[in-house]
Amino acid sequence: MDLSIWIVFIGTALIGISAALVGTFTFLQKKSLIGDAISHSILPGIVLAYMISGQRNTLILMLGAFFSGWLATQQISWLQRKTKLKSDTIVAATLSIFFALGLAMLSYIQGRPDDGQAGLSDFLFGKIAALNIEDLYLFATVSALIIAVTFFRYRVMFSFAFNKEFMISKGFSLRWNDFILNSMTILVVAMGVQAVGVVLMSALLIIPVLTARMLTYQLRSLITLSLIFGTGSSLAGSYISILGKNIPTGPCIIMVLSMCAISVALLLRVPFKIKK
Amino acid sequence: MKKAVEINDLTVFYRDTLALDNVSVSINSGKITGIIGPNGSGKSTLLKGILGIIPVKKGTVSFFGSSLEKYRSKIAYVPQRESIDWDFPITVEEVVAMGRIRPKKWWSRTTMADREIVKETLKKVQLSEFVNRQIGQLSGGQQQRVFLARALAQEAELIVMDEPFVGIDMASQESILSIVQKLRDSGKTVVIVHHDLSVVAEYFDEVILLNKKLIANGPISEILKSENIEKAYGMTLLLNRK
Repeated sequence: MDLSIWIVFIGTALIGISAALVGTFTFLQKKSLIGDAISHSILPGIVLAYMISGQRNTLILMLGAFFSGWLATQQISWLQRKTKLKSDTIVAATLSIFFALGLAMLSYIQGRPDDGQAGLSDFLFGKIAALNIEDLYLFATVSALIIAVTFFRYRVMFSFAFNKEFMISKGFSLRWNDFILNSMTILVVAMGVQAVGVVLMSALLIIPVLTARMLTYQLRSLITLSLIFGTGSSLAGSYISILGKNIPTGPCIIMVLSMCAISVALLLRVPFKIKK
Repeated sequence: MKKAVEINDLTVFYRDTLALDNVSVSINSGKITGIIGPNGSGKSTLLKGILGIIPVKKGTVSFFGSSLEKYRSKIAYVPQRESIDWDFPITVEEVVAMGRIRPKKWWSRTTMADREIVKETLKKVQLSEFVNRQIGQLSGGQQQRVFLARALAQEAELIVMDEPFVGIDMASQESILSIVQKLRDSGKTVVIVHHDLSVVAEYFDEVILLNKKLIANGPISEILKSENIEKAYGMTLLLNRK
């Protein structure tokens, strides 16, 4: 196999691993929707980063993504504190506003003479084949960071997810915990959109863990199974997308993931009932 | 007598609604104190306010003369059962092990000593055979005992329980009360939020009657005699007493 195929597979595996890890904790903290909001709201950041820098450099685009993703989470938590609006309303509104802004900016760029070079529309549905070796180094660094934070903090994140009042009473900071989880989500999303795209990124966070949850109630097996489903489907999906020339990577990966979820549900014959 | 908790002018708002109005009261150490009041009277709010779980508008709280920050590690909090997601993928052992998590440490691992303590406390609440069960599989009383075990695992001086007797059977109630009494007899301070003065009241040493404001406080025998209960509840509560 030539180098570019290896880059694709290693890149996809890194995305799958990180997304499954972070997804497990967003799922446990009942923040799956926040993952969706973040993935949609990084679009304006990516486009803006491209407009300013004029190049499709993954690090710069990720910085842009991080900035607007962070802005979106700040807006969500600010509105939650200051208004009486329900959480789902706030998340849905934030998601749409940022995404609309991103789409408008994207259309503006593509109308310019240098369009096509950017390939920014790949961010909508993902195109893993566009990955290069520098991207891979960056992905490896981000993944290592996410794995390290998860390893050192999983007990605290897990306990917060289960009983945050108890953790606050013990002197842990809720805002710090939220900040860490949000930052990890933003990083994973910024990385993952290259493969899956903005629109489907949240599925890559949620589906591995929900599939795993049908099979176990123990944290360790939950994490292990999420990793297997997330990474396996990412690899299989990107392989299919390389075979069939014009199929974007994102939908392929999510289709494989969904197949796993549905198969598990059917095998258990208790559709979507979680195991106790 | 030594004061375990001293509360001065505590005022708490939930958004624009006044939940607690200038409450000043103290809790004696080495006693079982009941915080009693009807629904929406601010009992849980009082607990959450003094433990820093919700922000307070005004007022100060001290624990054995020191601040919450300094005393925090010696306080165990048992939350209300409605606040728990019983489908959460967590085992009995993991819940109890939460009692051993310490803040200000980056690397939070369970040590061998922690494991030993977890095992011991599970034995004390008679749940040793359920270590690896998911918490939703237990009965209401067993679930409450898991949370009591978590509090015991903290080796706290002050144990604060929010409505621990809701939705549990008599046998579990007895076993929780007997553990609570043992705690008191070994010098710990126990605070229990409860919604009326029926049945369990006789286990309390002292009572704080609350209805957004402090209605009365003192030894249980005095409180039961007085007309304070009527002030807090009207007649209904008296009828509930056996």
